[in-house]
Amino acid sequence: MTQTNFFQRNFLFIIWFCSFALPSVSSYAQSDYFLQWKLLGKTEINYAMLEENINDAGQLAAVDTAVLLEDKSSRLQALKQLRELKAPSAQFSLRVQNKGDYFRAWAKVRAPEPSDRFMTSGERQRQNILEANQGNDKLIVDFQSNGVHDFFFLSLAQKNLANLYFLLPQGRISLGDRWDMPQHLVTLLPNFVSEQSDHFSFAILEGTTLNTAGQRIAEITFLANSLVKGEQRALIRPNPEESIILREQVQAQLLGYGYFLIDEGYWSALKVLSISETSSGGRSYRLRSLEIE
Amino acid sequence: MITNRWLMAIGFVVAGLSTGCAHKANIVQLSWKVPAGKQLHYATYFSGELKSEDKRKIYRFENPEDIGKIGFELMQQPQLLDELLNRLEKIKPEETPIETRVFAHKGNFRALTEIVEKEYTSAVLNAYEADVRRINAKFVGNLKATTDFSQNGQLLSFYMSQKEKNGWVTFTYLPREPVSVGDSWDLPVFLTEVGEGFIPIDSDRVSRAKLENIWIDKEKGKIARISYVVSEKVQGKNVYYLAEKELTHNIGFTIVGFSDFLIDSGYLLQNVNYKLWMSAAEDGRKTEGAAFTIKTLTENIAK
Repeated sequence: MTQTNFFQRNFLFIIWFCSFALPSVSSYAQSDYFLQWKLLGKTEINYAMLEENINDAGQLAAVDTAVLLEDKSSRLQALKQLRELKAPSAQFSLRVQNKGDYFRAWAKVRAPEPSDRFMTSGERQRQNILEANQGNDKLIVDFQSNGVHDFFFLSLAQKNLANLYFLLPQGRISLGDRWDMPQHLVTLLPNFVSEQSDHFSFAILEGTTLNTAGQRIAEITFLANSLVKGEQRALIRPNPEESIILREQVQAQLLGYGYFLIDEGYWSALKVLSISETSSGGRSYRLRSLEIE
Repeated sequence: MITNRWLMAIGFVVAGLSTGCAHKANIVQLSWKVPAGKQLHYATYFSGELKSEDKRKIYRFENPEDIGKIGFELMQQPQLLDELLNRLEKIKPEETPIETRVFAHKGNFRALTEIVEKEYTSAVLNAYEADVRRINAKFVGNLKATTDFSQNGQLLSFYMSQKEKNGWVTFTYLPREPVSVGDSWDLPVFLTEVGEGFIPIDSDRVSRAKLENIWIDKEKGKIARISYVVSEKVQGKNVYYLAEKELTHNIGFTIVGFSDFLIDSGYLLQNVNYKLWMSAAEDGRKTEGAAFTIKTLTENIAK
């Protein structure tokens, strides 16, 4: 059979094949990374886990994650400030175990070792609380290699933690790609009547690098923002002439980074700051982190 | 000359096309369409917490720990679901002074549930009921719950608790895609929530809404009946470190009910919801309960 004959006889098949194969090849070339939990060469990994309110967030107190989402240079500047933000000692231990066809994460309260150094009354109180709760479970969740779990009975706060620490993109990703990282940051009373509300919650593949051990690292940024403006109408109104309506604005933001070992399949480090504020004056900062032990 | 084989082929094509057309005619897109400036009013009928024997009359189960299994049974045995829906359709508890209003709002829809004035037609049965009526009269105009939702009933008020969301989902939620009778879709309802210190041993859930039937009412138009079933069962250990003890717990929830949705008008005619729950600990402590709620449109055409 001549070459001409071959193409003539298989013309339709070649067109059909190209229509599927070429886009697949090009999309593979664009999608460079596939992040999965593996714990390569390990049966388990242990992290020091921090989950605590802090008094001051420094320059990050004025952060606007909606701006950071669109402006990469501001985002990198904010992440630099987050890296420098001083963190208290971790008060949980998180163990992630490879169970074969799934992974189990188990976080427990762990009091820091008693120290001879002088402690403030606040530090002493914290130490006492942690010692009293030593060993208590904070979070238990089983998840697949892509970080998806089916523990439908977790509280919203626990689901937030499970999504933040374990959920990975569902498929191949390229530099700059972002994916949903669901976070429920604001819960209002049932009688809150919204005038304006907005919400986003993403993870972004910011870049990749090699660490000193030559391991490939995916640098991931976490950004979330929930804003609600409206009226809080009183649940109880004993006097019909006197309605209690409070105008309120509630905003919660989340900024963080995580370094994921691409080939080994686990976090080498993760740090996240949450900022919550209300128009009535309440403002709080919460810091979360994971560090390999 | 047309052979028999050609006639058969033409017959197949014609039959295939006509079947396809008939199938397409039964596909419906369910979406909310309340016109701007109009309001829909829904009255609420509520049973209060049902007595043990009453809930077993509605659906037979042997012991409270079976409550979380009801949805699994109903999915496996459709005739049991049909019978249960028929029984639910016949129950009409006492009307409450609670009204839900639905109206168009900023390109989507808003629902508000408030306490309203009510003239009772039935006599007061006991002192407790008299108290409830007196308290409700005092709080007329009080807002109990609110949500915004899209044309296909997806909740837009992301800041609600899961419990609040559950209460609205069965009222507003519709499938995103066009559906035919027999099609089903998931409901984002999550009934169980455990705290820290709970070590799960076993868990499972089912969650399904289904287009059961479409019929035409001379006055109201084309109506879609949507059934829904959600069951969750969770077994685990609560660990009390200070007391140095562990207790096994079983938790079960089921909600089952139906909605009748006016397809062309684009709003709900009625929503019927039967909810059961239980929790049993290894040391013998048990709680169980059930309640029945109906929300019914108080007029055929929005004001």
